[in-house]
Amino acid sequence: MYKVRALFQKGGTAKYISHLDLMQVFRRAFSRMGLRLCYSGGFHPHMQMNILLPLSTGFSSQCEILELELDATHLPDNFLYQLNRALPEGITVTSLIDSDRAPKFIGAAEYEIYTELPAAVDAVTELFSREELIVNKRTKRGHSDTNIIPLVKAFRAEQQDEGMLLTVTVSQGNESLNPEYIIAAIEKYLELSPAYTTYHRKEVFDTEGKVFR
Amino acid sequence: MRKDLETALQRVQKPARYVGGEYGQIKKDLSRIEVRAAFCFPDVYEIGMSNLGMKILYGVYNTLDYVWCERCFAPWPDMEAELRDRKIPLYALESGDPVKEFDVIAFSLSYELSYTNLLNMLDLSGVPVYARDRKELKNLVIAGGCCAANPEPLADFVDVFLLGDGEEVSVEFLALYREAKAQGWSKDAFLRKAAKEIRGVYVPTFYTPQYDENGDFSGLTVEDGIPATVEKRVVLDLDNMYFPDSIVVPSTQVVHDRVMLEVMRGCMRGCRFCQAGHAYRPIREKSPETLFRQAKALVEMTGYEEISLTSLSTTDYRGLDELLKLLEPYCSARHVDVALPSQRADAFNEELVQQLEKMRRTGLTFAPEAGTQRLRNVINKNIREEDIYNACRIAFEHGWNSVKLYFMMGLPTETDEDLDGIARISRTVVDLWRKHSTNKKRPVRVSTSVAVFVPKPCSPFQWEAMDSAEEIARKQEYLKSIMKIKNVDFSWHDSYTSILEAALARGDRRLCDVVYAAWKHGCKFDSWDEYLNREGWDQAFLDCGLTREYYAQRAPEFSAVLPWDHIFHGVSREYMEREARLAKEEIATPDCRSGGCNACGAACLMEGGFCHV
Repeated sequence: MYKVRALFQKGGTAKYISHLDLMQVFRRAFSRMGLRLCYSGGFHPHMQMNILLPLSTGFSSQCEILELELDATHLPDNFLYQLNRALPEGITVTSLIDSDRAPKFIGAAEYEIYTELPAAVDAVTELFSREELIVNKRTKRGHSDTNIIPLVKAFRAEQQDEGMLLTVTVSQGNESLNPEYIIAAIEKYLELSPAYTTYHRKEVFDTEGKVFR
Repeated sequence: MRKDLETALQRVQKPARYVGGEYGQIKKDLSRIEVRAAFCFPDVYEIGMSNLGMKILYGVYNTLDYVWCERCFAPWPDMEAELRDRKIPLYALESGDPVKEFDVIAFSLSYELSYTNLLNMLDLSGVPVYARDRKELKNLVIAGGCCAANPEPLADFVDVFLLGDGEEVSVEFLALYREAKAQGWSKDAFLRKAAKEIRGVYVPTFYTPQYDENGDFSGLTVEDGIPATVEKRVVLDLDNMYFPDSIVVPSTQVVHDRVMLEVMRGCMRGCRFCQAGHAYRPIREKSPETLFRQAKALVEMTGYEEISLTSLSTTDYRGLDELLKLLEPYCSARHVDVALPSQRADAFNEELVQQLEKMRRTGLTFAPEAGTQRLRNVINKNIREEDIYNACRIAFEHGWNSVKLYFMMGLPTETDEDLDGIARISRTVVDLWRKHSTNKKRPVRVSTSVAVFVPKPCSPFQWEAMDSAEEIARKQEYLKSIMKIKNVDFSWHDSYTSILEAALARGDRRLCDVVYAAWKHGCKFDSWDEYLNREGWDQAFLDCGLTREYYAQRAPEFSAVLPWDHIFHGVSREYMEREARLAKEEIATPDCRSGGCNACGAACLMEGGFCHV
């Protein structure tokens, strides 16, 4: 058994691969390399693989963390090169991480949101300086009106191309905020209809605000 | 990616269907490409990506360095609405370029209920749906697949049908297209040359249907120099035939996420209702060595953990034992399962079960097709009731506790006594489990599925009438009343769909206008219960002054000309008529191996005149 944790990027057409499908994509990539994952015991064995902090389908990312247990004693030569060759376009494993820090220490993540909502940077910045922005948010117990401001750790808006680039750090883990609610709040408070928007995850942080690895 | 497309993708279910980028997809440098082909499957991604024919032909096309073949699937209605709202034309997955820019638009036709999707895909591409409205050589629409056994209901939309095995004819056809494009031939000049010079090419526009005073189809007039009969193509040597060693591996779950290994083509059984069993003759096998080599290549390329040995009747493949012995050590070392998609009850013996036991326990499926020996003689399903019981007993002794049984209803000469047989067999199988099961921790599950018989072209039952909707409904009610059996799940097919399928299968060229009208009335995804639009189809038949019943429930005489008589599949007319007569006399014909050659005629397509039986 060999435990591996690796950092990978997800972009291009691959951002539309769902979290669950991505696990199969990785399993097959290892199989192409002649590597097999460990499986749990029991009646329905599960493969020992996990992608920390599942990313919404359609988001790109430069900081996804994959962890798995290989049924092997060591990693083959050129492991990252071989793995990247076995993956579909848009998925690139960039480095191995020498850590087994538990995912429960993940506390926040930074996203870049590019949106062409016709809003002024000042108006948007003002919104997120308020004490309260109520959005109808999905929770563990159905939908409920939630103040999202406590879940927004950092917020910056700037003009870019024909739109606006928002750089936001939102709470993840126990009380988590999908960055789509940032856009939902802008649409609601500035009374705008949806426009072209993309989401990109830039970094994952621990509960202390340090980069999580 | 275009912004409007990206926004569309954010709003639909399963966007991974629409973006390509999968492992194994083929991208080429456009500057070196002379012919661009869009291989279209008229159903959703998950179905099309499970189709073996499409995998093979995608590979064949792309072996040609001057061709770039890409894939395209029918967008699910949520995506279609987004595309239409944003005026995004249908595009091919590899390049994202609109299908309208492609030279050749190829369709694979696996089932009749996908015809409206073909029209819809052309329309979404901005390509005129009627062949006559496409004046240029560009956007040439071609089609093949098992529905090409009767091309007439699509003859007004499709420029060219390629009949039979596509591996060789596609290459010849594309080579001619390349020449035509380079030299600027007109569409008509190209079509004429293709029809005259390439065997297996059917160009419907050169054939004009005639109807008699009763409105019945009475034959075709053929233009000078064009062959009156088009013979389907067969590849003789399957060992040396193209088979992909690299395929596109979907990044999202599809219906068949496994290596599909085709062990043979054709079938020696001759079930009289079966189109494929006759249309794919003669029988040709691959050697176990070839198959083992192909299996290894594909397992290692795809990363799949299951191999399915496919054919019309895999337990009839003579090399099965040897192949399983080759596969077993390799597959168990790599944790790869081998599956047989269905099993013949009479081939299910201790030896096979021991092979199957080494693999993952996949479900067992037997197809008695009819409930009594008399009716099985009529349809020539040469399986005895004892064979089914014997197979189930062996399976239960070896720990299986679920079995699927496939039957048909509405078969020619059927009476309620035959339906009683379906209940009797299901009940007896449950009893056998009680007596013989070695695994009683979980209760037995017998799933009895009863489909509606649909008469198909290129089968001895092509002259048979289908039951009326009322009679099907009565029989289904009767079945429901007798199929209330503990541990038996009974399922049946919708009669509306089956009658529609029969009409489309046996239709003449007048059905083109019906298909067009149905599509105009919003019909699409007709094989999906949630989208089958009965009002649309009813109105379409009404608009054209035709009925489903005319095509489904008529029993034409042997003397009548059938709309597909100009397509020759190798099996002779004499053989078909003889089989149809023997059915009436309730006499079975033994299979080609145990009973010797039945002279169906298909061997005439083989070099030396012998099938692999």
